[in-house]
Amino acid sequence: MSTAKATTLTDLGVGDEGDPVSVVRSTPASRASEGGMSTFREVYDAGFAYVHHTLRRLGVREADLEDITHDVFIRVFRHQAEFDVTRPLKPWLFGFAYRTAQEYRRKAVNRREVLLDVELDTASPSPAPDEAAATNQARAQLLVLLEGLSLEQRAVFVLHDLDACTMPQIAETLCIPLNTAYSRLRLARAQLETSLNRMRRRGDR
Amino acid sequence: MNHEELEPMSSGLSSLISAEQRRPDASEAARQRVFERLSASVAAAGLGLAASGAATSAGSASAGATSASAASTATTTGAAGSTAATGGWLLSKMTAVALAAFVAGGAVGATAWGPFGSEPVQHAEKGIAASVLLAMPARVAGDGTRDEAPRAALEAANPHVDAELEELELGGAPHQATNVATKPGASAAAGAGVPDADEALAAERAVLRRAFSAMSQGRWPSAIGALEEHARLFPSGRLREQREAMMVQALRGAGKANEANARGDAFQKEYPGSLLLEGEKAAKP
Repeated sequence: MSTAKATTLTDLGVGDEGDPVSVVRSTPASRASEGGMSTFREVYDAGFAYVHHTLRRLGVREADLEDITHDVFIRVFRHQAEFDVTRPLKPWLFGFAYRTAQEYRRKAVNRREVLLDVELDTASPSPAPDEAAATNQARAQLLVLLEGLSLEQRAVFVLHDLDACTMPQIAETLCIPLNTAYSRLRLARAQLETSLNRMRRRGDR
Repeated sequence: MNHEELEPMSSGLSSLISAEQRRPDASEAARQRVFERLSASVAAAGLGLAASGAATSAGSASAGATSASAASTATTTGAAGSTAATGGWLLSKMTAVALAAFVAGGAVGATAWGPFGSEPVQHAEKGIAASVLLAMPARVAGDGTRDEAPRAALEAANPHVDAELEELELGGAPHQATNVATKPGASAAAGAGVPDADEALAAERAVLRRAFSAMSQGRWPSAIGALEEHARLFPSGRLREQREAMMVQALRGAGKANEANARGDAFQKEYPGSLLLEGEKAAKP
């Protein structure tokens, strides 16, 4: 094992608040000295919260979040050697989360389960008693609205408008042409605006 | 199409997005729970490898071999021998350390993966069992006494662990786990507020740990007994999938091929999407 200090994800600030997890500049040599598992531990620590959030945004029920997060990281573990530390971490993790959520939703549909477990009452736009309640209500509303999108549109919306990934990154992550990514984002936003207006009109009555 | 052609978002939708972006992260307890399960899953998935390796090396294994060393031997044997048959993704020294960490078990949460770091791997070249001990946090009970159970378990499995430990401690500072559970204050707080679900998971792991230890030493009947005990105590436990995967391996190791295949088939039916299936398929003759 090399005695040279490995450049780790943590050293490079991965996982910092607001960091796009794109700061990895280690050399192939330093990467080799890290060993796959060392990187996995760092990836887990840096990526757990992100994967957890992402799965929720892709429609995994609250009660299933830990199970599905576990499944995502089993996949990450298996494919850790493929992680290119010169690339952003979030889109790479998103790929695993997306595929796992896709399978999860397919199985749930087959079992005819209702995936949305957000309290619909909390999604109604009634006046909030305080700021925290208003924020919670806004989050719940967004999850309700996201249920109206296809998973493909939802993925692009989440990556772009919530994770602030670039469109080329998104196209690469989802293996789709750039124009398709733009098209899905446009359709997703239009659908969300329509659904939000409808929700608010209902609340005004 | 480009960004300029996208319709601007309404302030209403923007405010929802802003709220969601500020969603608090999942709790530290959740992060640790998932890690617990990951370590168990990795160990269970790796048992296809460990079991087949142990089976081929059982004749030469000394009576005093440590469970962790057996895991290491199994891995080494697999690497040198039937790489194709065992799948390959766990064929690394890291795997032996991962399995050793699972045997030790006391390494809770993220700390269970401490041995994956560069320092413990270096230790592993000298003595895996001792390196696991070094990597484990001291579990402190409510009265301030140190929980020696993990050490006792390793000592029972490996009479040479003290010598290994001494060598490693002389060789360098122990791995400093960064998990919050290693902090005395945090430990006490965690002990006071551990949810029942976490205690149940720990209890499940303790039983599976015994099974794993037996398997890695080729004591298949003991392993099967421990797995049956887990099934009795935790028929719907959170680690039942791992238990079933281990059972297939244990039965195979015991030479009960027909039963192992039947259990393997049942496993595939019950857990069709299981990520442990890959190891099962690899281990199936």
